[in-house]
Formats: sequence, structure tokens, C-alpha cells
Amino acid sequence: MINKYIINFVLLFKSIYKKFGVNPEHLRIILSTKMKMDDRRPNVYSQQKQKKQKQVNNSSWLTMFFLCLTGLFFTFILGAIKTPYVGHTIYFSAFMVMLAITLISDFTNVLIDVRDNYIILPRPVSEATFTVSRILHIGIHTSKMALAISLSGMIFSFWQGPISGLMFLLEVLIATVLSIFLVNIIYLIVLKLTSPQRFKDFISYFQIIFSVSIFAAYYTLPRLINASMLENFDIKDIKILAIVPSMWIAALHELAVNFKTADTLTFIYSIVAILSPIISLWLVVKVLAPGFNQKLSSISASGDDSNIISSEGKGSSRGYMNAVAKLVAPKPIENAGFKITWLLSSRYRDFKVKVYPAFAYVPVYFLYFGFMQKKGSIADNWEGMKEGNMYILLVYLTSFVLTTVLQHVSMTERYKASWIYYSTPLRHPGEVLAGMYKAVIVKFYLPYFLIISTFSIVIWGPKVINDLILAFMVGVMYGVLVALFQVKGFPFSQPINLKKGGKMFVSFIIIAVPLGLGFLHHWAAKWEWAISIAAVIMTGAAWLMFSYYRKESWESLEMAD
Amino acid sequence: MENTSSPIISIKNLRKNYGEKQVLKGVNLDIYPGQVIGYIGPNGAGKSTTVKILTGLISDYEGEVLMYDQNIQNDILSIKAQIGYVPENAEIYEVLTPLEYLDFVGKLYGMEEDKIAERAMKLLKAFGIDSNADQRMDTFSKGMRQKVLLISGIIHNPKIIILDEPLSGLDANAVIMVKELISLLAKEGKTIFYCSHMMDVVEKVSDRILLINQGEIIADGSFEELKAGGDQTLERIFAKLTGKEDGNQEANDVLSALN
Repeated sequence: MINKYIINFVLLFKSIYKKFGVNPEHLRIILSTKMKMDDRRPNVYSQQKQKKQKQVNNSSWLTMFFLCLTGLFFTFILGAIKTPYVGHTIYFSAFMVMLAITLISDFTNVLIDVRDNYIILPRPVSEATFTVSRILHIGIHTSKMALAISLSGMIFSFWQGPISGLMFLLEVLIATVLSIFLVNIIYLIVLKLTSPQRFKDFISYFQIIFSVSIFAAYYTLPRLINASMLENFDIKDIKILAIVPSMWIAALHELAVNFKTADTLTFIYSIVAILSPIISLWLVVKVLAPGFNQKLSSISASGDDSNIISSEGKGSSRGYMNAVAKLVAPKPIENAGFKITWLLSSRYRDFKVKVYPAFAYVPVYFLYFGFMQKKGSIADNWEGMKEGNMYILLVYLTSFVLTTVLQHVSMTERYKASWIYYSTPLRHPGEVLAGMYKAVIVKFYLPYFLIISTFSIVIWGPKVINDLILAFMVGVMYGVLVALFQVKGFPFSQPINLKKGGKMFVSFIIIAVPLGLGFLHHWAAKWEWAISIAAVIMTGAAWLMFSYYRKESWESLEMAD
Repeated sequence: MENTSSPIISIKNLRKNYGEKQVLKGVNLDIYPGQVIGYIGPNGAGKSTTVKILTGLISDYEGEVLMYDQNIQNDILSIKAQIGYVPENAEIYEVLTPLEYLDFVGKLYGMEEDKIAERAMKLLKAFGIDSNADQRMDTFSKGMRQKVLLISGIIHNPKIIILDEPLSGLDANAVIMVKELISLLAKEGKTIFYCSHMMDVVEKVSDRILLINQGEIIADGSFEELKAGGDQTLERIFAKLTGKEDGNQEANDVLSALN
């Protein structure tokens, strides 16, 4: 219903559109259909909801709701920091980053929807109508997002006074235009540096960065905002900030609320704030858009393999994989399971988007639990951390990566290709699963663990090596436990939203195991001999459990289905 | 093939390159009202490029394409309004229901909402999917989506219908129905341009067969005329003209590779 009002509003200007050769009726039907599709399109925010309810009807409103909440969080910055220069610079930096990454991660698929080429373009729809509908669609979507993020900030600003409120409205408008400009520039740079196919990869990586940024901001920003350092310094002293648009926007607010005390630099920044969206709009329309449309059509022409990344499996990397596979999984069926897991985990985007953020979550969790919670300065906490045995927390946190990989390794949107497992004379499916497990360890867990171990040895010294060996073997044993109870499918053989009910208790146990073993390890760390013995015992336990997993039968797989 | 009426589509010296590769090497063709053209050729022969040019999806080509004696470049929108197109890749907005999708497509052809709804329901019923009219298409089988795609290509009652592999994913009953439909549409005076790899179907529904190979039309005539060369099936004629006559040898090569 609201969409209808938005379209009616947009079509108030139909006499202008007509001058550009636009058919208003076509424009209305294209916009209403596209907006209906937006509401039904699963996105970053509706994915959790989608697990419970297959058909989504309100995803764009759900996105707006989450952006409202995020905006509320940003508004606390405005409230907490009294000087407009500092508060508004931080607020609009966050606003622009949030808007830009939401547009890129959530809306790019709409922007490069190749289906339009087959559905709309063969119909009698003029080029002008098609182009204007695309621009308006993006404009409406962006405005909704910008409104959602800034709603609480707007209420707060109007509460401070009408001038502050009105100026805030103008600032939001400027920040929105500059964000679109920023997105446009990012697209063009990426398209210039990469092929159209790699562009789609880029979007996936952006989604990963988006997830990690939100996660990291959630855990670390509150701590930073409390830091008193933000209150007592002149932001204008940081010369490099002169090129940051949010600084110009903040200057505009400073000018509005403290006009009498404003200095020359504030005036200059304010003028730049007013001029920059006009110049960037001109650049977008006259310089960037034509090249952009050309590039977009090359993406369309290159075909749709929206879920595939072809970055691996060629040349030397395949030689490396073959050598490793031969070494760790020499038996043919296990070897097949190993290689298919290795290759597909590099090529399925949905897997990467879900799994890769976990690698970044570990350091964020470590920083949060390690010293973000403690009182005192960050430097003091760092020194204190080096004295203790926080490395145990760090290495046990890596099990989070292992769990995440294992929970997703049997799932993909392209699960239908798994018919091959059922049509081949596979007597012991456990052999494929064993190959899959080895690939997960060798490709994901081991390299990550080695990086974390190197960091630990550098910080805490070589005395931690036996702890690291024990932690690794605990990880391998724990991974088999997760695989046994939670991975009841071949590599990439099940739909993503496959419901696995009645396993709350198992999930709880699985989380409790590394936690419990980690605490035990922490408690026993002072006895080096105990750690060494435990490492040997754990190696044996891991081997026994893996041997059991290798014997998984068809019956046990079918029971899981 | 002799025809006394003036052609509805006339293609003159049509050429198209993709970079260095010449996909169409000077195609000349006249198509007359009421004809069912079977357009066949091996993969990469230039079939899809021809179709995309006829439907206005590709505009940077050399040569001339006339419809109703008008160069299609001059007023592509009025040309598109008279064409019904069913593309090879079954792209569809699957989050919509068939009724919502057909309403969208119908309105792009300038049809009234009531007329679209009435005709859409009749067509959905004729194709046996009226009970799914209000379900989102993301749950549909390939055949059901293909039926919606077919309906979207004819809902505006076009004069020229361009079908690119329209039977893909359809069950046997639906295939029979579409074959019959093509004949009936032709009898009503519609011109049908039918691309397919299914030789037996092309053989049965087409009254004129065009064979394109490496960007050139290498055969043009009715099945009876093409058969005069001695081969009794279109499959054999196709294999012979595209230089793959000795399928037996290739099959033997495959077999020997297994031993």
C-alpha cells in the first residue's frame, strides 16, 4: 500500500518524464512490480527469518526496521558527544558507510538483474522508460534506506531545535547523494580493475566485509564511544579529515548551531558540503553513468553464474590440491570426497559468504573478551594480557571457524547436483565424509590455526607450543564430534534452509565441549607434563572418533534426513 | 519457395560480429504471413543472434531487417508490440505469481487490466496450471515455468511469434498441445519463427525449414523439398548438411575410447 503512495508521488512529475520520452504507464507498472519483488526478495536481514518462513513478503521493510535500529545506535553518538564537529563527523561517517554497504551488498543484484534483458527489453518499452525506471527504483530504494537510518537522528535533531532539525535534513540529503556517488565510484573502480565475472565475486566479498563490520562495530564501538578522548580535542586539527565528506557535513551543522563563533575553516567546509553533492551528481550523470551502463550491459552479456566463483581450481593451485589430496586422502573414494569439498568450497559463493566472516569473528571475539570488557586503558590491558595465558582463549576460539565450516559444508543452493552420490555404487558413504572432513581440516582449520599459533608464539613465546598442539588435537576431535552429530550429508548436497529440528540439546553439548575442555586446559596449563600427556590422549581420541566417522552408513545418513 | 504476398519480415545481407568472430555472414531471408518457419542449426551457428536481432535485443548489426516494409530500427517499439517472444533461457520473476507476472507483461503491451486477467486465466486453464495461478513461481517445476513463459509470449495476441526452444521441460501432453497450438496459430494467419534442436518436432510443425550453419543459411525449403536430396528424416538432412553425417564413426570413436 505504501509502495502505491510512493509511486503516485514519483509520478506527480510525469510531465517531466514525458519530455524525456518516458511512458508513465510503463513506468508505473515496472516500478510497482520491482518494488513488489523487493519486498519478496530475501536479503541480508531477512535470511534468518527465511529459515522459519519460506516466502518473504516484507523484506525491504524488514531491512528498514534493522536500519532504524542501527540508526538509533548512531544517534547515541550524537547524544553522547556534545560538539557537533566530532559527533556529526562520526555520525555521518557511520551513516554513509552503512548506506553504501547496504546498497552494495543488498541492491547490486537488483542493479544487474539480467532477467530484465529477457523480460522487459523484448516488450515495447522505450529505452528512456527503462533507464528512468531503473534510476527511480534505485532512488526510491536509497531514500527508504536513508530515511530509516536517519529517522532517530532526525527526531533527536528536531528535539534540539528547528534549525538543528532542518539542517540535519539537508545534511542527510547531502550524505545520501555522496553515498550514491561513493557507490558509483566503487563500482567503476572494481569494473575497471576486474572482469564482469569478478565483479560478482567482489559483491560477495563486500557482503562478507559487511557482516564482519557490523559484528565488529557491535562489540567494539560502545567501548570506543566511552573513551573520554573524543570529548576534548579539536577535530579540525586532524588535517587528513579535510578530505572526509562527513567532516564537511559536520561543519554545516556547526555553522547552523554556533554561527557566531564559527571560524573561516568551518565556512569553507560548509561551502564544500553544499557544492560537493551538486558536483558529484553532475559527475554521475555526465561522466560516470554512460560508462557504467556500458559496463553493466557487459555483465549482462557475460551470462549468469550468480553463485559460482571461478578463482580456483586452475594451474598451480590445482596441482597443490592434488598433491595434498594424494598425501592425506590416498584412497580413491576418500580422495574424491576431499577434492570435491576443496574445489566446491572455493567456488560456491553462498558457502564463502556464510563461512568467511567466521575467520574475522575470532579476533573480534578475542579482543572483546580479552580486554575490551576490562577497565583501564587499552595499552594496560594489552600488557596485562601478555602476562597471562590468554592464548588458550584465542586458540580455542578457532573451533568457532571449524564449527562454521562444518555446519555449511554440506549445504548449498546448488544441492541438486548431489544426485551423483546416490547414483554411484557407494557402499560406505563415510569414506566420502572422511575425505570431506580432511579437506575441511587441511584447507580451513589447519592454516588458520597455524596463523593464530604463530601470533601466539610471537606474543607469548615458544613455551606455548605444547599448549597449541593440545588445542589443535582438541579441535580435530571436537570437529569430528560436530561432523558426527551435525553433518549428516555429503559435501554440498543439502538445501540451505533444510530444517534440522530437535537438536537443541546436541547443539548445546557441542558448544559446551570446547568451552569445558578450554577451561580444563586453562586450569591445567601450569603443569606442562599434563598438557603433553593430554595432547597424546587427545590425538588417540581424535583418531578413534575419526575412524568411527569414516564408517558412517547409508542408514545413519537416511535417519538424519 | 514461391509466395505471391509481400513478406512480413525481410532480412537483407545481415551480418554480426562478436569481436573477431563473425557470427552472421550475410543472411538474406523473406518470411511471409502465416508461415511456420523452423529455424535449425548446430550450437553457435547464429540462431540466437538472429532471434535477438529480430526481437530488437541486438541493434548493432550490419544489413537491414524490415518488418511490414519498415526498417525495425526506425520504430522498434511498434515492431516489438506485434511480436511475441519466448526466449531460450527461461528467465522469469519467480517471486511473482503467474497472474502477477502476466499482468506485468500484459500491461507492458498496453493491455487493460481486466482483459489481461480474463485472458490470463483462460490461458492458464488451457495449459492446465490455473490452480497455481496465485502461487509464487519459485516453487514451480521447470515445465510449469515454461508454460507461464509461453503464455507471456502470446497473451497480447501478437502477429509474429518467435519461439526459442519453447518445449524445453514440457511433459509429453504439453508438447502435443503446443505443437497443435502452433498449427492453429498459423492457420489464424500468425507468422511463427520456431528455433529448436528437436528435429522431429520441427519436421512436423514447420511448413518451411531454414538451416543455418556457421552464420550462413545453407538450406531453405519445406521438409518435402529438403527430403528430395534422398534423406528421409530431418535429422539425417541436418547431419549431412552440417558435415556431421558420419555419426556412426563418432560413436565408434567414443566406444573405442572406453576400451
